[in-house]
Amino acid sequence: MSRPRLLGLLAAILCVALAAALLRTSEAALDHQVVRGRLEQPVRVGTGEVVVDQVRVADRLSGDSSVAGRTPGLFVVVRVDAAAPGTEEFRLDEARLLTRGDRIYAPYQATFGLDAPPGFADRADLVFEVDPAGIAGLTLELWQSELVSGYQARVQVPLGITAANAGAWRDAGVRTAVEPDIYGRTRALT
Amino acid sequence: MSDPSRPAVTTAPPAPVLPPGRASRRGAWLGTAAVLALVLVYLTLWWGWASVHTAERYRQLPPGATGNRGDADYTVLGLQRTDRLRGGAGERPQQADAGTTFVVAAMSVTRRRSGPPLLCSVDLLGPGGRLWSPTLPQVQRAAPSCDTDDVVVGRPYRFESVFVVPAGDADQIRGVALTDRTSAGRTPVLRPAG
Repeated sequence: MSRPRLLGLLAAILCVALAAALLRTSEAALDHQVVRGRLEQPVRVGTGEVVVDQVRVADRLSGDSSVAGRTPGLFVVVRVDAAAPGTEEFRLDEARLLTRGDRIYAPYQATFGLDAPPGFADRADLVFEVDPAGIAGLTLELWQSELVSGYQARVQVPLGITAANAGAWRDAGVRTAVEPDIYGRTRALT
Repeated sequence: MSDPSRPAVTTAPPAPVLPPGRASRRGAWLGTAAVLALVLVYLTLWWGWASVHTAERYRQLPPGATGNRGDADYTVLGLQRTDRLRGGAGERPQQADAGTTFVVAAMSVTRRRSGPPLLCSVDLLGPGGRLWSPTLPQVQRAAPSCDTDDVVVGRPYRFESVFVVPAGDADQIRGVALTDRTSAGRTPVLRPAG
């Protein structure tokens, strides 16, 4: 092989290696942007606004048969309000509860979905069944499912349960029943 | 001495002749630059087209005009705002929730030729591009909602679509939008005559 051809081949191999390395290093650890919110405070995400509030704990769920039941652990019930104040509809249909460790809780109910048409807000309760020993630092994460996955924003709202008050939360859930509203209610924004 | 009536003849130095290897390399670079420029032009045009066509665009038709979507022609016969939806005999009217109102669109559709199932769902366009989908009334309405099986080719078919909108937007309704997700064209917006 002539010298110029050898140099060209080496350059091509270097380019491929460089491209592969850049691709690898440019991959973000997360495939989404995290928008941090606070309990009872509206947080803007995409075309909508989210408010997370009314955190309740119980060891028994009453009301609708699809969620009614008991747990040896703890039910955490959270109210989520999704509003579409602009011209686009706003949808939130994926949720999970993050802990300080690796454990992640999926919703207890089979379905969850908030869908607010423009000028409306939709709200519903989310229920999680958790281990009472690890409730400090529980954080609710909400986002919108996508058919074609893109780089999306996810809302994370800490539920206000700290190591200092976790015991009080645990005690509050003993022999307590909560009736969650899992189907949601739509209201017009004023 | 030179003759002033004759133009001066200057002899240009001979153009440098590139060795064959350098000439072909220059050609390769020019070719690469041309391809890159074409890619850039294509990306620019694609980005421009996409940014224009991903946002929903509307075309307001004159009052009473007929709009078409697919193989069907649509006309709005009436657009009425009400806080109570009347149902069948003995049925209690459905009251709009606080802060909301109903908008009832009386529609007519005429199918021009038979084919795949007719898409007869229509949307309501409000201020600022707010778009609402029809809702399912909780009372039995006298007029049917659109049922594809009842639409006969060439014969006008009347149906109604009920929308729930914020009360504050009800006076700024632009009309009924014939939304077609398969088309990048402007969505026709219809209003009743008069």
